[in-house]
Amino acid sequence: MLMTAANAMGGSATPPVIDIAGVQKRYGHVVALADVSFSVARSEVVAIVGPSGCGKSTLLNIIAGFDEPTDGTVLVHGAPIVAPGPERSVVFQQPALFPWLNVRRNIVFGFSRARAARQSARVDEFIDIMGLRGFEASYPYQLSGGMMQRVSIARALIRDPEVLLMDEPFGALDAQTRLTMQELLHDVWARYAPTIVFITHDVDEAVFVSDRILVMSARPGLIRDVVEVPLKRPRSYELIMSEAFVDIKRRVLAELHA
Amino acid sequence: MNKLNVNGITSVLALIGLIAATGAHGAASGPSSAAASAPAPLTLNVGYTKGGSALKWFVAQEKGFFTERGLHVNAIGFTGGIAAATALKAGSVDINLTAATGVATALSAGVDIKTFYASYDESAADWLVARKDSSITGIQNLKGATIGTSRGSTAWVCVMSMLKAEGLVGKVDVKDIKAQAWVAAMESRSLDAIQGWPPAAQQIVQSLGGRKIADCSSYARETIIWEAPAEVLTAKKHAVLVWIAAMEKAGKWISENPSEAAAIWSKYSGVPAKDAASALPYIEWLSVKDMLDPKHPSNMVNPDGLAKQYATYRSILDEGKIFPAALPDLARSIDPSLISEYQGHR
Amino acid sequence: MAAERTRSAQMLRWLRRGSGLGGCLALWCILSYGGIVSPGFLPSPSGIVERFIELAENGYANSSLWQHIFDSVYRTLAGFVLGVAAGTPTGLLLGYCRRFDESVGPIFSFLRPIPPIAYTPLFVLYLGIGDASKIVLIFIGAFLYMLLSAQAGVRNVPEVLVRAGRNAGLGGAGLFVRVIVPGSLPGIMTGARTALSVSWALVVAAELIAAQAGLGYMVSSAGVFFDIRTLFVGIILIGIVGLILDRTILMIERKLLHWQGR
Repeated sequence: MLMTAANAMGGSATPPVIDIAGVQKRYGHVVALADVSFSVARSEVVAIVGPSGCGKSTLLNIIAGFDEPTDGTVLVHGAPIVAPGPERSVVFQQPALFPWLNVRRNIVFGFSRARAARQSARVDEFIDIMGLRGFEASYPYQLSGGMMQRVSIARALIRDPEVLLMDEPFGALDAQTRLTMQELLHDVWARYAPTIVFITHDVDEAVFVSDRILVMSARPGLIRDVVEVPLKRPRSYELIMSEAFVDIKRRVLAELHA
Repeated sequence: MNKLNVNGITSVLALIGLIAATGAHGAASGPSSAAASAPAPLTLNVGYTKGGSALKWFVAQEKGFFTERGLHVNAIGFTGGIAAATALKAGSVDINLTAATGVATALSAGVDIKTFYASYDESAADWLVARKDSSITGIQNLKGATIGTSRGSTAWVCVMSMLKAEGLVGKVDVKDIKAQAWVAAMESRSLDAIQGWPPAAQQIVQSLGGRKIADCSSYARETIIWEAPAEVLTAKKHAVLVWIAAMEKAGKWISENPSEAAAIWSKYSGVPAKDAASALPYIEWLSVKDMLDPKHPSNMVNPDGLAKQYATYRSILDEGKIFPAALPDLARSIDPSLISEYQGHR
Repeated sequence: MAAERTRSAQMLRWLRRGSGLGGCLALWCILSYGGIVSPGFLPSPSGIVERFIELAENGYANSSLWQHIFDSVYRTLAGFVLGVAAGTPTGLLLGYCRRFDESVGPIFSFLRPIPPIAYTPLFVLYLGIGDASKIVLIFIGAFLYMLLSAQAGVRNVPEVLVRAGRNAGLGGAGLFVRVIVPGSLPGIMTGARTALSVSWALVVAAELIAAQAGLGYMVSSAGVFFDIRTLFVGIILIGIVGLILDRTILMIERKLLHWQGR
């Protein structure tokens, strides 16, 4: 079944945080994204799944401002994107921590000295929530992969972003750590209700963390289907065995393999 | 740790290389004597100073005086006359153009060196040249000046003799400047004057407008000689005799064809022909007859000739602590046997 | 027990470290005291120690031994420090700013393959026979080397860190100062270490034609007059000072780059 832009829209009445319409991206003759449209509502978690090469990372780079679309519009709170910025904070797949800064300084990276001082209490708050207490003065090389992503998330959140862009953030972690991190993400959401665009190739992860899943197909990159995830929050990992969960997962997988 | 082990191995390898090299040296003198006992062809490995005044030799080479006598010459250029001791010791050079300082170097390197031919006297061409804008007009106002010359060379011995003779020891700063930096050091105004040998000294006067202050003839005679290890003179005697014949012819040719000689000099030394030509009249080209003449200041037969020059050099070099130990008697190297034999054959 | 094991492992390591040098020394002793190689070619260890003491007491060529060492170290460090101070920012800008690279890059591409030694007579002409001509020579060597290392250092800053910086709202100068410069530091320090050994090698060559003192001067002068023992003392001193310089900069590198966790 073909999707229309209207179907892909979130059903919410409030104006969307992100509004993407008719976005195309071509590299020479290669079409990375062909006519992608969707919007994301405030505090919504939208997961984008798809095979590699479907353009999901390109899409995220366009929203982040690292890349420009060949055609179409991307609006954040109704304004077009001109450059990367902290209001669209990215959590990269590879922990993008500055190795020469300790945990605390990585979290406030980009802040002026004065702002960092003002936000000192909030830094402590994030250090506690992210389970980084005792590691404030540690350097990235002293941290595990999971710890580094906790710092990355804290750094993204402390900027009070309009949207949190997560590019396979747990993709490089082992299964156990990934599970912990996904639950942590739920805690964070329960506290701050951020708007999140979450890129993943792991269907379980997509179903577990999101309110809505955009299923993409490759060559050309298209949104094939939108699957709603009407699972109640807070979610815990027992959910993964539930019929409702499996049902949604089945639908997503069916679309991916179609 | 691994790195250090590798370092250790490299040092061992380097040491083995060194042993191999010294072994090769021992072997090298073997074949050369073996080659000499075979009748033909005659070859000589000849060391000379590139920027210097080996003009007789350049002419003999250029005009084919060696080849017409069936002598094949391999030329090995050195940047300084005293640098050849290593090559002589290693057997890669049979005969070498130098002066008393070179003989001193070879002797202190443990080579049984012989002075077998006195080529020319350049003391009148070894000049103290002041910068054109310096206040120095003569030896009398040299006090407080800075003079450059290559330490330990003939020119340096000349400067030291001059300072001694003029009572200027300790009143003039003598800097060690290698010949290739003479012009640059003068132009940069780091020096008031240069003591230089021909044709560089004449070049400084002509090209830079330098002023000639003094020459060496009244302070230290500078006879440029040919040296060879004793065993070469035995093993390659015939080749060396042929070589002497060619050199004699070259000496005569230079006095008959001065302008062409200057052109050849220019070609070999890199100094402009007009500068070379201006140096030519100051050089006395010696013949075997001069070397055997007991009255000639460069003679090789009595204590008043070359032997006297060598004694002066020895004391100046020793005073200047140029060599790590006191020098032996340089005059014991003087060996007129080959030139006598050459003269007898004529 | 574990501590004991590491202690014995450490002792073994020191033993191995010593064995290479000790082996060489032993071989040297056998060769020289055994009379296999004449002292004119390879002086004995005691002959060199003797000469060292003589030089330490009486100096060489009108300068004390310490003056020779000091002159070389001073020229090296002065040229090196100036080279790092000028070469690093230039290299960083070349790596960061394409337009700068396009306009001035070709000058350095042209200069780079020229061995600085080739300038020696020129610098004597322009700067005279004093320290300046040697320091500038070393400066050129260190500068060109630092330029290359800093430029490569910029290229080696992971793209994801540049993106993280831009994502934090940085661009232009801010990104340069807060991401590019610290991110290039490992490359810069590796470059600095090599540049220092290049500088030390250059000083020896710089002292060849118009120096009045310095280890390079001492070695070349001793070589000319076939003073083999002084030559060996000079070479050994060049090696020791070079090693000290290298260890020092390695220590600075470790301090500056502690965050690499090495």
